[in-house]
Amino acid sequence: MRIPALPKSTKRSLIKSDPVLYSAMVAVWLSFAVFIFLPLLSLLWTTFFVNGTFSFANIKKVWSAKYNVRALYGSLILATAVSVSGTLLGYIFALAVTRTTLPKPLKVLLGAVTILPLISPPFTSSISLTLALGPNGMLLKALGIKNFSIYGFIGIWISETLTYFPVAFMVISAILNTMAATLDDAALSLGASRWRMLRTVTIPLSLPGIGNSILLLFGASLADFATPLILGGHTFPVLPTEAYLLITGMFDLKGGAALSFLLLVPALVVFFLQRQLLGTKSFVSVTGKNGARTEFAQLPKTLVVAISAICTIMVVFIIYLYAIILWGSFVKVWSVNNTFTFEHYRYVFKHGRKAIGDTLLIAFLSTVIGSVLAVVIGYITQRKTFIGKRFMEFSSMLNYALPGTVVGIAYIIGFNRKPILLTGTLTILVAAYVFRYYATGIRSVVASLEQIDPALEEASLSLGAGTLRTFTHVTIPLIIPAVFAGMRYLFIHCMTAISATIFLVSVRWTLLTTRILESMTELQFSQASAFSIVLIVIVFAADAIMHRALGMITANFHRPQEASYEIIGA
Amino acid sequence: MMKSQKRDTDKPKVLLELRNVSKIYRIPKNGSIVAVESASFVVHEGEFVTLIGPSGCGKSTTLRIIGGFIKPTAGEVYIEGKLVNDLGPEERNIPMVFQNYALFPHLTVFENIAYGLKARRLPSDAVAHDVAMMCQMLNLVGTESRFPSELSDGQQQRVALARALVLKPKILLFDEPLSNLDARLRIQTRAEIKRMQQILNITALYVTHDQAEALGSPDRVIVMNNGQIIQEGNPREVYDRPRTPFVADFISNANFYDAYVLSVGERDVLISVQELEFSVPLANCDHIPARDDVLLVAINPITIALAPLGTSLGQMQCEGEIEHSLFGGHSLQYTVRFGSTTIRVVHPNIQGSEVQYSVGSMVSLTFNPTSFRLYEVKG
Ligand SMILES: Nc1ncnc2c1ncn2[C@@H]1O[C@H](COP(=O)(O)OP(=O)(O)OP(=O)(O)O)[C@@H](O)[C@H]1O
Ligand SMILES: [Mg+2]
Repeated sequence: MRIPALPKSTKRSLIKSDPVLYSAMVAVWLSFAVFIFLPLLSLLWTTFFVNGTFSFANIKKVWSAKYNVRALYGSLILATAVSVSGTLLGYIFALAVTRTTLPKPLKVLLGAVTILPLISPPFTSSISLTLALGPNGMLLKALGIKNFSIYGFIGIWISETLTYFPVAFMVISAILNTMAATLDDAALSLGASRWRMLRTVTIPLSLPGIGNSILLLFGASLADFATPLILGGHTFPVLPTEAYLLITGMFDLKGGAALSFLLLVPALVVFFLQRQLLGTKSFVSVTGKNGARTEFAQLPKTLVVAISAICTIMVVFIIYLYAIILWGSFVKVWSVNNTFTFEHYRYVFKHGRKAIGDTLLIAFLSTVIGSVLAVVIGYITQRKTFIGKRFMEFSSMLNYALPGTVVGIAYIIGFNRKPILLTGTLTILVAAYVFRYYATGIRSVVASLEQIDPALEEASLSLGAGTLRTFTHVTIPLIIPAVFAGMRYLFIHCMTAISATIFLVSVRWTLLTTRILESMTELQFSQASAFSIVLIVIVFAADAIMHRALGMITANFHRPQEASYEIIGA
Repeated sequence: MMKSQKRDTDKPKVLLELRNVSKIYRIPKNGSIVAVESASFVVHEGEFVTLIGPSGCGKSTTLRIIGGFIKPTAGEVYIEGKLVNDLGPEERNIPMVFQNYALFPHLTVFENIAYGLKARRLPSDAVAHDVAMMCQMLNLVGTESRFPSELSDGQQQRVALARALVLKPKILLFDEPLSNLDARLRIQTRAEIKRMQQILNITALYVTHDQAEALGSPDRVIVMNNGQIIQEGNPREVYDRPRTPFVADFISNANFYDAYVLSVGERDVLISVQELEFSVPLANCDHIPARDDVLLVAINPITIALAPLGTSLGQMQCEGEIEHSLFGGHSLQYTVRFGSTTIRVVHPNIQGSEVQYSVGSMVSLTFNPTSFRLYEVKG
C-alpha cells in the first residue's frame, strides 16, 4: 500500500498557527541578542581583534606578565581547595540533618545557620574574619596567637568555604533525602556494618550530588571577586580581582577583556561538565518503588559524635562571626575605642540612603522583569518544540554560567558606545541582574512544569480556551509557587551580588554592596558592618514578605512549596 | 520441614519467639499510636508463617521489630532462645525481602546478590560460586552484569529473593514482597518462594494483606487487627473457624445478621435469622448462649448453595431474587435479596454445567448451618 504524502499545509508558518508563541519567541531572541550575545561578542572582539585584525596579542600580553599567570593558577588552586573543603563540610552538615537523630530544634538551627551566608552579601564573612583574625583581631588576641596573617590564600579559602558550603549542603541534603531508606535497611539486614553501609550504599548513591556540588563550588569560587579583593592583598592574586584592578585602576579595557577570557574558559568547562552530569540519569531516580516512608538507619556511633562535634564548632563559629559584625556596627572604632554608639547607623541612613533606595529599586525592577522572562522562557523551552530550542536553553543560562566579572566587563565593553549606549544607566544594572539571575527562576519554572501533566492544558484547549487564556488561567496558577520561589532568589541576588555590577555602578546609580566594599577598602570596618547589617535585615524582611505572599496565594492549592536553594552563586 | 520432623520426633525447635511485644509511637502534640499491642507468638524451624491483617494493623511494624530496624517499646524478641532486643539488624542474620525490593541501584545483579556475602568477608571465589548457584536456581542466569533498572519487575523480585537466600539465613522475613507484581506474576513468584523455602529448608515469616496469598501457602496464619493478634492457626482452621467477627469478615468476607436464640440444647442451639430457623452446633458458638439472647451470626458466602427455583437441595432453604451479579472468573458473586435483607453468595463457576442466573430471576437458597459461626454481641 502506498503511504499518502503528507499534505503541505502541515508546515504552516508559526506566525499564523500560534501568533502568541511567535511574538514571545521574537521578543526573547531579541533580548538575548542585545543583552547576552552583543556584550559577549564585544568582549571576544576586544580580546582578539587589534585594529580590526585577528590577533593573540592581547592574550600574549597578559600571559607574559608573571603576575597574571600567578593569578590564573591562584584562581584554579583556590577554586579546587574551596570546592573540596566546602563539599566536605556540606556533606557533614547534610549527614547531620538527614541521617542522625539529633534533636529537631538542633537540626532547624543547623539549617538556619546555613541560610545566613546564602542571604548575606558575599563578603560578609571576609569582613568578620578580618575583624576576628585580622590585624588586632579579637580571636587572635583572645587565643594569644601572633604572627598570623589572614591576608592571602588561607584567609580567602576559609572565607569562601564558609560562604559557599551552604550550597553544597543544599545540593547534597536534597539527594540524601530522596534516597530510599529501605536501601539502608537492606544493607544492614544483609549483614553489612554501619560503616560498610555508609561506604557501599550511602556515599556511592550520593555521588551525583557530590559531583554537582564540587562543580558548583568550583564555579562560585572561580567567579568570586569580593573575598579576594578584601583578603587577598598582593600576596595572592586571582583573575577576577586582577581584571577589576586593571579596568578600574588602569583603565585597560583590552587587558581586562583578555584576563576575563582566561577566566571564561575554565568557567565554561565547569558549565559543560555540570550539564553533562545533570543530564545523565542519576541512580537515585530509579530507586524506591512506592517509597516506604521508613526512617534512615543510624550512622556509626563514632561518626555521629564526630559529625556533631564538627557541626557544633561550625555553628558556633558562624554565629560568632555574625555577632562580631553586629557588635562591630555599634562600637566607635573597631578594637580601638569600644564605646557603644549609633553613629554608624546614623551615617548609613544619612549618607547611604541613596544607595539603599537605588538598591531596592533595582532589585525590585529586576525581580519583576526577571520573573516574567523566566516564566516565558521556562514555558516555551519546556512545553514547546521548535528549531533552536536547545540553543535558547543554553543561551539563557550563559550569563549565569559565566563569572560575574566576565559579564560585568562584557557589559561595559558592549554598551559604552552607540548604537546602544547604556553606561551609567539604570537599564544596564537591571539588565545585568536580570539576565544573570533569572536562571534560578527558569529552572524552578521548568522543574515545576515537568511535574504538571500537559493533559491539563490540553483539557483547557479542548474546552475551547485559547492558547493565551490557557496559559494565564491554567498554567500560571499551577506554576505560581515555582515562580515565587525563583523570585525570592532573584531578589536576594539582586540585593547582595556584586561581581558583575561593580563595573556598572556610577554616580547616578549606586548599590549597597559597593558602599560596603568602599567602606572596607577605606578600613571603615564599623561602617561596613552597619551597612551589612542593614542589608541583611532588608533581605530578611523582604524575603519574609514574599514568603507570606506566596503562602497566601497558594493557600488554596495545598501544595507544599519545595524551596530548592539549589544554586546561589556570587 | 518434613525432613526435620522425621529426624527428631520431639517438637520442632523454636527459632523465633516474641513475648508481649508492643510498639507505641509518640506523635508530638498528638498523643500516641499503638502500632503493636502485646504481641506474642513463636515460629518453629522450617515453618512458613504468614502475618495477615488490614492495612495499618501493625504487620510491618512487627516484622521490622523482628528485623531489628525498630526497637520495641516493651516486650522481648528471642532468636534461637537468645534475647536480641539490643542487637542491630546487621547482627541478627535475618535478612528481609522488601516490598519495594530495595535493590541497590548502583550495583549490578551480581554485586547485589554478593552484597551480604562480601559483608561477611567470604573469599571471592566462594562468593562467585554461591552467587552463580543462586542465579541458576532463580533463573537469573545472564542478567548478572545488568543493573536493577534494566530488569523486569519479576526479575527484580527474584534478585531480591536471591540476595537474601544466598546467605542461607535461619529466618527470612518478607514484607509484602509481591504487592508490586501483577496477578499472574504474583502467583508464579509465590510458588517460587515456597519452592525455595522447601529446598533450602528455610524458616519464613511472611507479611501480606492479601487473604488468598495468606491462605494459599503457609503452614500457619497469624491474623492481626489494630496492633493485636486476633487468631493464629493453620489456614483451614482460620478459614473454617474464624474466632471473631473481624476474622470472619476479613478472611471469608462473611455475611452478618442478628440471630435470636430460640432455645439452647445439649449440642445445638436453635436460632432465628431473618425469620428462618436454623439449628447450629454449639461448638460453633464462641460462648454458651442463653435463651432469648441476641447473637451475631456469620455466614460464609461460599457455603450457600444456589439452585433454580423449585429444585430441592436440602431443608434449610428459602427463596430469593438475584439483585446483582458479578463475574469473577473462577466464581460468580451474587447479591440475593431474601426477606427484608440481602446476602452475598459466591457460586463456583463450573464450566458447562451451570447456568448463570440473571438479575431479577428467582432462585432457591440453601444454607448449611453447621458452618455458621455465632458470636456474642459486644459493646
Ligand atoms: N514512624 C511512625 N510514626 C508514627 N506512626 C507510625 C510509624 N510507623 C507506623 N506507624 C503507624 O503504626 C501503625 C501500624 O503501621 P504498619 O506499618 O505496621 O502497618 P501495616 O500493617 O504494615 O500496614 P500496610 O498493610 O498498609 O503496610 C499505623 O497506624 C501507622 O500509621
Ligand atoms: Mg506494611
